[in-house]
Amino acid sequence: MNVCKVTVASNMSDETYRYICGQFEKKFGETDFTKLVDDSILGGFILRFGAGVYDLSLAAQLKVMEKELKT
Amino acid sequence: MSGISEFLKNRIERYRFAPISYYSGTVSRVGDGVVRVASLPERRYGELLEFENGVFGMALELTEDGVGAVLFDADETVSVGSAVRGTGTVAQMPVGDLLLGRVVDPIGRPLDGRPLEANTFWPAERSAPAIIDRRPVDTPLQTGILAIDSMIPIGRGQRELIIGDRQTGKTTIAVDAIMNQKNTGVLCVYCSIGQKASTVAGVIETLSAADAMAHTVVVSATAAASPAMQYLAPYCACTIAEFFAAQGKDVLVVYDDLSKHAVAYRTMSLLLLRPPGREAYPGDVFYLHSRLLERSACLSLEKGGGSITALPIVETMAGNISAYIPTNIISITDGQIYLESELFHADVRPAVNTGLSVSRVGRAAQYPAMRAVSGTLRIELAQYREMAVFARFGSEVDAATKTLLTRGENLINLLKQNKASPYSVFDEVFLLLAYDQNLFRTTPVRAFSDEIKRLLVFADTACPAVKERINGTGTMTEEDWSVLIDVLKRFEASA
Repeated sequence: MNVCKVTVASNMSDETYRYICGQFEKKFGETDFTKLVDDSILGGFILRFGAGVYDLSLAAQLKVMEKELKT
Repeated sequence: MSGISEFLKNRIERYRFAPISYYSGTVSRVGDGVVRVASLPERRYGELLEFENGVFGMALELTEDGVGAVLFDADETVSVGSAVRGTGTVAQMPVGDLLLGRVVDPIGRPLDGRPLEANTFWPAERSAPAIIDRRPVDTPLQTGILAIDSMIPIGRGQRELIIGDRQTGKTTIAVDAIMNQKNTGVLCVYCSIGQKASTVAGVIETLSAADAMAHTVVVSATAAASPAMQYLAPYCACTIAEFFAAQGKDVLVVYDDLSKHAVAYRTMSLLLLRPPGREAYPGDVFYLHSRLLERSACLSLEKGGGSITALPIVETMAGNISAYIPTNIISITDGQIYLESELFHADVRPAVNTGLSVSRVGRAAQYPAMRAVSGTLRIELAQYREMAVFARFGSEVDAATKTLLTRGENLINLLKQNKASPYSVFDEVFLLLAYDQNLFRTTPVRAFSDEIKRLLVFADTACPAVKERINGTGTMTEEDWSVLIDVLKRFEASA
């Protein structure tokens, strides 16, 4: 079975969390999810799947935006 | 004000929200600036890795079960279990005119306390220009040092090694050469590798005082920097130079010094568990320097006609130029300037040993005016040294030998030059002509430097037109020659 760690901020609803997990399983098959709560990501989520990282957190997006505005 | 907020609003509105996906590994071993990262797929050789807390490293060993990397910064923040991600780019260096007058470290961070807003980056490791993209070295690079410009001329695009023991004036020669490029259009890059921070500060101070920082970039990895930084420094300096050369400019790069660079690379290699070879250097230590120095070249006109002249510096131990690293670099470069402690302590400064020094580009890279007056200097010096050995026994010598000895001594005194006081082309030609005409035959040793100063001041007013022509074109007509001889006669009569 796949193993995936999901990092979310504490303000994420259970419903959204389940939706994300559902979408992931649809694509990759049955998966064992571990939920990690980290408020420093501000919002959104980060999926860790083997060595791969899929970052859709608000903090990371703001960082990219900051970089883009500086150039 | 509203314009700015409108602009920012626009940019933010246009921002496309996209997921960021990358591979992440974890540190499995860390120590002595070297880390091992487990399971980090799809990495490139030499890729920059970003550790947690913003520390950077470079992947130097790729194996099936992980990556070996070196850290650029102090490693106390990196521990076993730290997350690592590849940045997708190899080590890069900011390039461009905005670097002139700046001091940066090998990953492009400013060290002079002012922000550096670069937007052009070139990779630190680039391949050398192809054979077809090069042309022969034919333009002189004046160092302003009489002993070098007359006997060991350096051309634009040449690699000339400066080699000698500690405290023999190696850096001084390089720094003087940088100073002499002021107002010549030649840009300079001074790369300090493994030097004391105080030494680097001293060099920057000297360059600033001579108003030479405006055409110079300093890349510094001091002795306190990690071996990875020291390893990377010369390649980055070369990248900066390559950018200028690609714009058709002439560039002078000083690598100070490559023996410390080899030591830093040895440290790194041993920690990465690469097999040690001779003197514990890894097997590719020759390639380490050959690929760096091959990047210096005189580019063809199709490639813009720029050039990179390299002055690598190597420190020897107890005058041993046949040690491993010195012989390697001697064989790569187009000649060497050998400095000797005995000469230095005998007050012959610059302490150039003309017998062991050579420029393989030779007279092709010398102004015609200089060529006309410097042809026999090396032979005269060699003859003098041979005779001086006999004369030391106090034996009676005939008049011809006596003249030879006096002339030899005069030449040695003439070639003595204080640091940070470069000669112009005219000064050099005129002084050698004066020597040729035996002007200094009665000058006592103590009065030599004053005599030279007086002579140059005299020439300033006596023949300004000839001076301007020689300085401008590097050539001297028959007519100029006789004018200068006449000036010398008038000077002698006036004394």
